[in-house]
Amino acid sequence: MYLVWVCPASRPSITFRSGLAVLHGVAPADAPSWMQYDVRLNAMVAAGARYPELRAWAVTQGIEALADSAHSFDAPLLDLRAPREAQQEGVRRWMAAGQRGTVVLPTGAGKTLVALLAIRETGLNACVIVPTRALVSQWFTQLADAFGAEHVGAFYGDEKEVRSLTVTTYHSAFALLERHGAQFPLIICDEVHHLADTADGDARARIDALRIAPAPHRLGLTATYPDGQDATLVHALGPVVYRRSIGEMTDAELARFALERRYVELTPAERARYDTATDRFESYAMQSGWRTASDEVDVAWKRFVASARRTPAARRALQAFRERERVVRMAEAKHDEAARILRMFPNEQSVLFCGGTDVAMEVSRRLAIPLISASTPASERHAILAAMRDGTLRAVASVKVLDEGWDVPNAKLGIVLGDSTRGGARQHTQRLGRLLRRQGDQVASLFEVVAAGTWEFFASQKRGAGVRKVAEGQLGFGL
Amino acid sequence: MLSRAQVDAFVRVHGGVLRVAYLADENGRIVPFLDRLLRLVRRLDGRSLDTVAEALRRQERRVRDASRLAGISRALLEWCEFASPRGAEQLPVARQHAFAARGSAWPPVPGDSLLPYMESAQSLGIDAAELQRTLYDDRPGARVLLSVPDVTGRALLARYNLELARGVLRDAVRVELLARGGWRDVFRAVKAAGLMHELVRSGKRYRLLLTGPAAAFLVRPTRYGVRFARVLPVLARAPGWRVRAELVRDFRASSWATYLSWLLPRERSPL
Repeated sequence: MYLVWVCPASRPSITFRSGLAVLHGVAPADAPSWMQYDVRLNAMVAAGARYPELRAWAVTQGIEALADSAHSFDAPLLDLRAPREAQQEGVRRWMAAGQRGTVVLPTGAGKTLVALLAIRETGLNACVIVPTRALVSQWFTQLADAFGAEHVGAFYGDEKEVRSLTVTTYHSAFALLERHGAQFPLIICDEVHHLADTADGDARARIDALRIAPAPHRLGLTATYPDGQDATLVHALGPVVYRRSIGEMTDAELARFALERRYVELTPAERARYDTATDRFESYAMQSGWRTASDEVDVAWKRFVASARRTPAARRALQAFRERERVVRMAEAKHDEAARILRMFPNEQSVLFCGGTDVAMEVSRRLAIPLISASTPASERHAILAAMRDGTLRAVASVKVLDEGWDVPNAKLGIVLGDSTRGGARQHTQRLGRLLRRQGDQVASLFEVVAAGTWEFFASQKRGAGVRKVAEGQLGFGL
Repeated sequence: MLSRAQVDAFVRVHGGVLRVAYLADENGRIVPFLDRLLRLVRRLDGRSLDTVAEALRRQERRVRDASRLAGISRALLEWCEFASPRGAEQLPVARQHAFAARGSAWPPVPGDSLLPYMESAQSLGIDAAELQRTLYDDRPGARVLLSVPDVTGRALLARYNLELARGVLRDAVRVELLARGGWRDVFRAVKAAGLMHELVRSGKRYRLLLTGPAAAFLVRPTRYGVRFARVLPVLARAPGWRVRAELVRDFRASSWATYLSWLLPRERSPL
């Protein structure tokens, strides 16, 4: 026997609740055919994305929408950049398409300004969804500069501030929109190719946030539209409404820079720790043969790490590996060398790339410069960038965040103190390229500080190969 | 909550039924070991979370299965109380002033590393070297240990097993609770977790069916799994509850059931 709490006969009404479009007080036979009965609510429900449809139907039936307030956004756009023709046309086409659809523009063509114009033209609260935490910071900064920081919030990880314009990640968007979806009539999805059709369950699930969001207005932005794999995308956001290719635009020019490597010595105590840890690690590798367990290095490594869970000797070897990484990362002489380089370029603003949070904090303490990592709140990053722009701050230490879409204006000196990717050339080149945006004819200076006689020498060689290849007369980013 | 890796290491699915290798103390050595862990942590009163976590990690040399120890450590650390060190709330502003002071005294020269901290340190009533050393004491790992639950190793064992059960619920799409009482706390927990329910009478008892609000419309209905997990500790306080769940792991459905009283050691599973 079902025990169901039955509400007294209520006046018909509609509402958005917990990701659902809900219709109260109407018998199933009289409700839209695309709704279903939900015994938990004793009401008819559909996915939240159908709330605009439900609202339109409710108007024809004279049914009230509960707590349905307009969320208009009327702060002026402070961005003084003159939009390019492609940006203006992109927004015009999107508006003409009922404010649903994707605008495809190449990298460096200013997709962000398209979004800012869309917010201004619609005059609506907006939720901006991006793929990474680093991009949350960048968007936060750009929205804050364009409309005022008091209107902008960030919702991800430990930071949960909801404002008229809120930036979130694909990972956190569901939680935000389930609860606050009704507050955002406009959704902007950056790098929307992340919603392409795919068999990967985690990737496919990104669409859930858009399935429950009641926003009728949706804008997708990307440089690489997934043609032929866009069924889900078109259903959730609308079709491509405007597209320009890289050949039709002015190229963004790759920054040119001078690269110099500086070697430093470990202290006697550091050298002793490094050698002991290396001996332990290599002895186990020889004895166990884990390196030859697979033809693929990555697979062999993963098996070794998994074996460390249950095998004490493997565990000790893994700890030794991590210890020698730490010795190199935290080498005392690196701090002194970094300070020496900063003194060589007293008038330049700098970024110090660190291989881990521990060394970044140590650099920050010793030099009294700010640190930016994945866990730095977006508002704090914005404040640091603003201070770099106005010259109050001269240098910043960073961990990983420069991997994607984060620009430090005016920085012309980079110091690499470590690399968490252990020689990932592409990531290294991308970080440096995005950091050292060319301004006029200025040439940037990039120093790598490497601990001599350690594994870091080889990692540095790998990184350097990628950088040299890019620097050899290659125009156009395409990254 | 335990991480996925800390749970998956002890879960097997066979014939559509999921079984959990709970930790048992068949040989009588586990509970005394857990008692020693508790004594170790109690000695670290006032030390940072990072220090306490590292001290627990070093006990790996005493165990065969590091995943078990990692899960137990996590369960214990989440059971303890930590708080930010005194004055930590003032650090963001102190940092801002110190960094601005460095911007004015640029570039850094040998011997002036404490100069940017002097003014801020003075306003905080500490010396510059201490401010430099504690500059990031508002981060999570710097929180200090305030108290350790006054429990025995046996209670820690039960707690760990409960955390394993919670970890399983991470993949739940639907949970059924069969109960004799304690409804008020359960309904409160269900509402706080943002779940929806149906109440079905079954003879003299009630079955409570929990689901995610919009689960029927999602690509990933297991999105609500963590919320189901939040409800479980409330049930553990009431006698006679049974939990049954439908799970989806690696796109395959399976079922799992447990009586909460069974979370005490039953099966052989060496530490």
